[in-house]
This record gives sequence, C-alpha cells and structure tokens, in this order.
Amino acid sequence: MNSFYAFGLDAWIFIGVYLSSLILVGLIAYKARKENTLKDFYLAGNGFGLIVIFLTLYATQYSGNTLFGYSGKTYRIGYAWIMALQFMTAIVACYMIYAPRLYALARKYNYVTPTDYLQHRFNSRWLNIFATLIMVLVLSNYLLAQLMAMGRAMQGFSSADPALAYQQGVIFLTLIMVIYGTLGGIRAVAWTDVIQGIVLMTGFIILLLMLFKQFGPISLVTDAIQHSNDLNISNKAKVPDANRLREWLSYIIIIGLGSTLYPQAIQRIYAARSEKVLRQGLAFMAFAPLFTILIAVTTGLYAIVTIPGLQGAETDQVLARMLSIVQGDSIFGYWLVVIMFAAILAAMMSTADSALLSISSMLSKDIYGGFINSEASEARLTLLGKLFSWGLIIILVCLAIYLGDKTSLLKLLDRKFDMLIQLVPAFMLSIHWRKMQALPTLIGLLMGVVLSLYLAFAGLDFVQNGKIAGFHPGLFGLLLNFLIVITGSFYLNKREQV
Amino acid sequence: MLDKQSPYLQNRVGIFSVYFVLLVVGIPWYWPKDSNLIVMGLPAWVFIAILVSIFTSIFTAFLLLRYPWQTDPDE
Repeated sequence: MNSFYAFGLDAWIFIGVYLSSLILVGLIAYKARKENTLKDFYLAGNGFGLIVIFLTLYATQYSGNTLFGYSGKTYRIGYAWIMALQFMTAIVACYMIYAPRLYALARKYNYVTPTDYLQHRFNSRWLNIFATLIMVLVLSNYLLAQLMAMGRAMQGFSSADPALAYQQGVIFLTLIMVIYGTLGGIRAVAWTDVIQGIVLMTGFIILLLMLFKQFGPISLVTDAIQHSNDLNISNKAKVPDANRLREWLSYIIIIGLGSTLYPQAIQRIYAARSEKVLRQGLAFMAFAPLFTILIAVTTGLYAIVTIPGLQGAETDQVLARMLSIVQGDSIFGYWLVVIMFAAILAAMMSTADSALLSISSMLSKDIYGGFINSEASEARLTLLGKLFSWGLIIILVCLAIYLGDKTSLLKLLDRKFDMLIQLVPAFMLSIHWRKMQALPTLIGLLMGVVLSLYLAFAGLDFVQNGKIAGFHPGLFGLLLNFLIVITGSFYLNKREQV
Repeated sequence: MLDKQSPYLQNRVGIFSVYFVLLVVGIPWYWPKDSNLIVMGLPAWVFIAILVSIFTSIFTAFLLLRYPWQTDPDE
C-alpha cells in the first residue's frame, strides 16, 4: 500500500516537532508533580478542569480504530456502519447509569483504580483479582491494537520497505509514548491528550473538507453506489437485512455499556476536579461522534467509489489510500496530509498511553499491592507501576511486530467488548442495588466470560462471523451473568434473613 | 431496594422511555427493503439514523447540564 509520495524534510521536521512536544510535556508534567504518590501519578490529585477532562476523554475514546477500523468497516459493509454513530453516542448516555454515584464514592473514599470500588463495595479478594485480570487482559488487547495501528500508519506514509516501516513505526512511536507516560503519569497523558485532541479534531475537520473538495458532495457518492452495476457495491446503500439490524442493536448495547467500563475511562471519572466539570465534559462528549465518527464513515463511503476492490486487511487502509490521492493533488493537499498524519498519530498514541497507564496502576496497586506486598509504600508502588509499563510494552511491541497484517483491527475490537461487558453487574448494578452479594457477582462474572469466549471460539455452526444471529457472544454471557447475580443475591439475602 | 437518590433514577421511567423511543426509531428495521428514497444526498434511512443520533446527543447533554449530581454518596 506504499502509494504515498514520501514526505519531504519539511514534513518530517513538522512531525518531529510535534512528537518532541509530547516528550517536553512529559518533562513539564514530571516537574509539576506534587508528591510521589499513586493518587498524584495516576489521578493528578483529582485536579482536571473542563478543557482537560473533555479533551482527555475525547482523545482517549477516539483511537486508531476510529480512523482506520471504522473507515475500513464502512468500506466493507457500506452505509449500515452509520450504526457506529449511534453506539458511540450511546456511550455517554450509559455513563449516566453509574458515573454520578461512582464519582461521589471515589471522592469520599479516595479510589485510584477501578478495583478500589469493588474492594470497597464487596471486600472480596477473588472478585478483585478476576475483575482486575479481565481489565488488564482487555486493555492489553486494546493497547496491542493501537500499536499495530501505529505500525500500519507508518507503513502507509513512509517510503521505506513496508515491513521495515511497520516495525519502525511500532517501536519509535511506542518509545515516545512510554517515555512521556512514565515521566509525568496521568498529567503527561492528559496534557498530551489536550494537544492530541486538538490535532485530532482539526484533522477530522480537514479530512471532511478534503473529501468534499477532492471528490464532490456526498450525493454523488450515494448515487454512484446505488446505481453501480456491481451488486457488491450497490448492496452497500440498501436498507440492512434482519441480521445486520440485530447486529446494530447488539453494537449499541455492547459498546454503549462496555466503553464506559474501560479502566482508563473510570479513572477519568475519579480525576475530575468537580462533579460540574465532569458533567460538562461528558455533555461535550455527547456531540463528539458527530464530528468524528460521521467523518470516518464518510471517508469509507467515498473510498467505496474511489478505490473499489480492496479485500481483507487491505480495507483497514482505505483512509491512508484516500489521503494518498489527496496528497498528489497539490502542495495544499500535501500539507493537509501532513497534518492528518499528525492527527492519526495523535489518535493512536493518546489512546495507547491512557491504556498503558491504567494497566500499570492495576498491576502495581491491585495485583502487587493487593496480593503480593500489601505493606509496600506509595513511592514503591509508583516506581513499580513505571517498571510494569516498560515490561508490558516490550512484550506487546514484540507481539505487534509478530502479528503484522495477520488480523483485522475490528476482530480484536469485537472480542474485547465481549469480556469487558461482563463487568456491568459488578459496577453498574452493584452501585444502585445495595443488597447485591459478592459471591454471585464473582460467579456471574466468571460464567459470563467463559460462556462468551466459548461461543466466540468454539467453532459452533450457529456462530457466524463471531456473532449469533447478529448478536455478540458477550451479550449472551451478560444475560447469564445477570441471571446468576440476581438469583444468587436474592437467595443469599433470603437465607441471611432466615 | 434500589438507591433512589440519583436524579437520573428519580426520573428513570421518563428518561428510559425517551432513550427507548430513540433506539427504536434509530435502527431502520421498519424501512421497506427496496427503498431508494434519498434525503440530502443520503439514503433516507441513513438520514433518519443521523437525525436520531443528533437528538440523542442533545437529550444526553440536556440531562447532564440540567441535573447536578449528588456529591455525598451516603445521602
């Protein structure tokens, strides 16, 4: 896919300055630290204001998947991927189920990690360890997808050999990210998110303008798709079939609920300066899909008409291919693509750094501090968190290089939510239902995960494209999970009364 | 049994109903399969899906900005 005109020295200087600014922010954040504690390193002492909270939520939420995966998915299935606009909007609505009360509890009891809530609510070691393992596993998967996306971005924009460019992209960009992340903790991550969020928003708007200027209005695209002689293309404008409609509903539920339970999202709830700031930040986020997802989907639609015939993992590169066409158009197009490249890097790095920081907090505080050495000082746990970040990232970089083009970004995304959504009862139900018990919550969580993964990977006949009649396996796991939690809690409560 | 202090839970039936209607209207299950109707350059079912998404954003932002959250978890 190496169809770009290689960036000149001026463009690489621009990219270099942008990436250097991230390291600089890491250094400033390091100097701005107030104390050597977990709360300061992972939550910045609960001091995030409105602009930081909005841009860090935005930059963390919208990732390499949004740019590459969503434009690629639109290319594959057509207009039906407008469902992404709805499920990303559903995320903010789902926050309201539990964020208000979680924020109040976090403030009162000084939570640092998501597991702190579970510990306070259930006081169950086994529930803590399994919930933490699920979150670490899910986030590692998410982080891996971001690292792979970084490699693919570099592959698309570099003049070097594609395999070499992929490896260089993964290693170099990850190195920058882990340096500023371990220097300044959440301050560095959130402050770089501010820069990255602004670059990302600018990039999305520029992308939309580029598409309209280069390829004409959307009505031309709709007309071309609808009247194409190729059935594979014309079907992409048709009203979705029943299976796709069920998939639509399934995505709204699984991503709407699941995304709010990302550990880094939960930690941003903790980190807000006040409930007013958090409410206002989320209110802004309710509109973010309109100027992000809609543009990623539009890109995929333009690509259907402009570059037909792509297959498999190639389809995740439609954004890069569209940009290469714009780039060759004029010097203006060239610089627009340079800015878009910076935006693409921003999307990936801002998501990956938050995931990495969140994993390190759980490994050091919840696993090491909770199960191995409960006497460890805050300074030691903070240091260990940094070491865990480096250790984990080395493993994931090797894995990203090994996997290369072997899997589509969206396949990774699908399995991640099947597991994450199993935490819904433990967080969302327990925060409102005071009589919910620990044991059924643990059993429900385990059985939900087991059933979801069995359905996804057992090779059963009725599972098509990783879904059952359009529904994600995770939703069947969640049903079982809820059933166990509710009946088990009622049973135990009744037995206690007797 | 449920904690009813959250402003969203106090009005949960009304709020849930609005989201439910938006969900039902937003997914194009009710459109005829052979519909080729175009609105503003988009298939009509896509246009409606986008419109529903905009309404959802506005309603969600309204709820967030209108109702302060309880800051004492024990209340």
